[in-house]
Amino acid sequence: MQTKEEMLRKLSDCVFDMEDEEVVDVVKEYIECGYDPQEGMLQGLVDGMKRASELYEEGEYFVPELIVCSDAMYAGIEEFQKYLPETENNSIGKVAIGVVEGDTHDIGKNLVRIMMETGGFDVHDLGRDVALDTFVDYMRDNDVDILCMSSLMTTTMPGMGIVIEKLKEAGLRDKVKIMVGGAPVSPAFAEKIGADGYTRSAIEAVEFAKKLVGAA
Amino acid sequence: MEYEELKRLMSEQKDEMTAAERMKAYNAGEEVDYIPYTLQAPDPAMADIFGFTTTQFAKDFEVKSEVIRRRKEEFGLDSFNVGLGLKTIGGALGSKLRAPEHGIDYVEEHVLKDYADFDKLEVTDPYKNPVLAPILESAKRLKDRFPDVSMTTSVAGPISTAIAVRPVEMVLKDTRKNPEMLHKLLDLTVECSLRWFEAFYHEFGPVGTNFSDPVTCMDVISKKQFDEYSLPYIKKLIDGTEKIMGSRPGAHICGKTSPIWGDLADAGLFSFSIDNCEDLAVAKAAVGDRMRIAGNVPPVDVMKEGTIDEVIASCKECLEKCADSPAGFILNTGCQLPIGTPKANVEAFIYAARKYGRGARLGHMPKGILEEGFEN
Repeated sequence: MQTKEEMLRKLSDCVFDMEDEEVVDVVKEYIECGYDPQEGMLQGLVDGMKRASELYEEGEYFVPELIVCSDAMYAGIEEFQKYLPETENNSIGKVAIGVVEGDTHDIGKNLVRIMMETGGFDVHDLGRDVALDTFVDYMRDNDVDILCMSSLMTTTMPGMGIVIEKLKEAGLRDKVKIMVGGAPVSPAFAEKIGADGYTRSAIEAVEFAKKLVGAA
Repeated sequence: MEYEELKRLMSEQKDEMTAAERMKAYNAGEEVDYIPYTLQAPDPAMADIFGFTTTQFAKDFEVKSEVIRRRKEEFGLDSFNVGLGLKTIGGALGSKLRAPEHGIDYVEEHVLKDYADFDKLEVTDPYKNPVLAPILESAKRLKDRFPDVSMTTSVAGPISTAIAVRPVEMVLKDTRKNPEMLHKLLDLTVECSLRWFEAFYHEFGPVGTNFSDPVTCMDVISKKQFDEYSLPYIKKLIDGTEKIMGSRPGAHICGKTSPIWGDLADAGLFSFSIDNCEDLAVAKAAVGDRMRIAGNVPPVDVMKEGTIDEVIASCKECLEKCADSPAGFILNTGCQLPIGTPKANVEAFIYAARKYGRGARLGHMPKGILEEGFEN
């Protein structure tokens, strides 16, 4: 029988090497060995995704690689969840994320979601082309530490400012930190609309988010 | 500077040449009144400035005519483009597009989610396809109305067209998981684009051409993926265009492109419009002798959100960096001119082109910069 360390490494490698089908078998094998599923997810699958994101930062991996790696990670997590009666909540903070109304460009948003989840956040994905009031309603009805919004188009980016105004009107602005992103967005724009921060990449977004919740 | 002062200063400036005359003389190496300029894909922003929605512009022939007329009168933009947008061929092949009343269209449902359906897709015929035929018809009507204004056409680049046919995440995964089918899809997109150019040539003779390819930048894909999936099809598009029109196309690619500039020049691209995230001086040094460079005033922070003075300063900086590029320079925005750009900023852009671009000549710093730019 392989040691736990060997099996964790195998899980990590499946994600890192983009083996989105093989990963499911490795998870089964890991479980059959009687090792802890929670540990398998964090020390195995998430570790692989972290290694992938390091290569992304170094310019070795690009968006296609991250997408396939994350497919492998989520396929593995889905398999693990069959063996976890209750998901333990170890999250370092709750994030809600979405692309604003009129805009369907969601690669960047998806990368931020993946990186936030990999970084230990509990992420609720509102999706793309999200009605501005949906953001406000979600903030009202849920305890969220950070709201992330993005747009890729100059025509839709003002929507992020409108959400912030609506949150102010509803008296909800102070209960949540707000991060914005997307190609046409700049630090100046973020400041102008009253967001708490802008980051250029998904990796930077996680670091910034950790600081916002005091976890960095 | 206040708007009144800008208007006063502009009233003292004079156009000595039309845009077509200017470009012809500039290409011939003669000194021109001032540097050729353009604003990247300005139609939506122009419609907005003149008080129309993008839908009115797209659907109402009289609105479109008025915008073309006024932007020539007021901004000296005396050419117009009737081309295919980023999603048009996707729509023509069967993806469902949605256009907001005033904004940019997007794909609501992609036609090719499963490659099992690939064989159902056929190269689109611009004369018969229900999405393309009306665009060709509209080009004919506009040419009849504006016989003296030069008309250009455009398509989207291969990968950008592909993601209007198949969802972008799937296309990106295909680079890792299904290269064979992705190659087939990319080949189809180029066939459709060239078929469009052929129809355009058939109707109007040789015209200027362009393609935009926002996805094929190094923010999204690697150089290796570019070499394998993008470059061969860009090359096919360039060669095909030259064969049809007798001239090579220009292109705009958003984002980080410095690693591929050499490839684009090698592939025979005539001119390249560079995003404002890249440095024109670096581009000039790298490929300025082989490819015309256009750029790169920041569209959002400067054109849409900036002051008149910021627009002028940014134009001047672009000229100082690149106006003497050996194969030529066009003052342009770094990406599409955003809807909501104030009229005053468009005028400030033109004012700066005339002032600092005065006495431009291919490969040389304009007199305007030599006399009034740099440290002066």
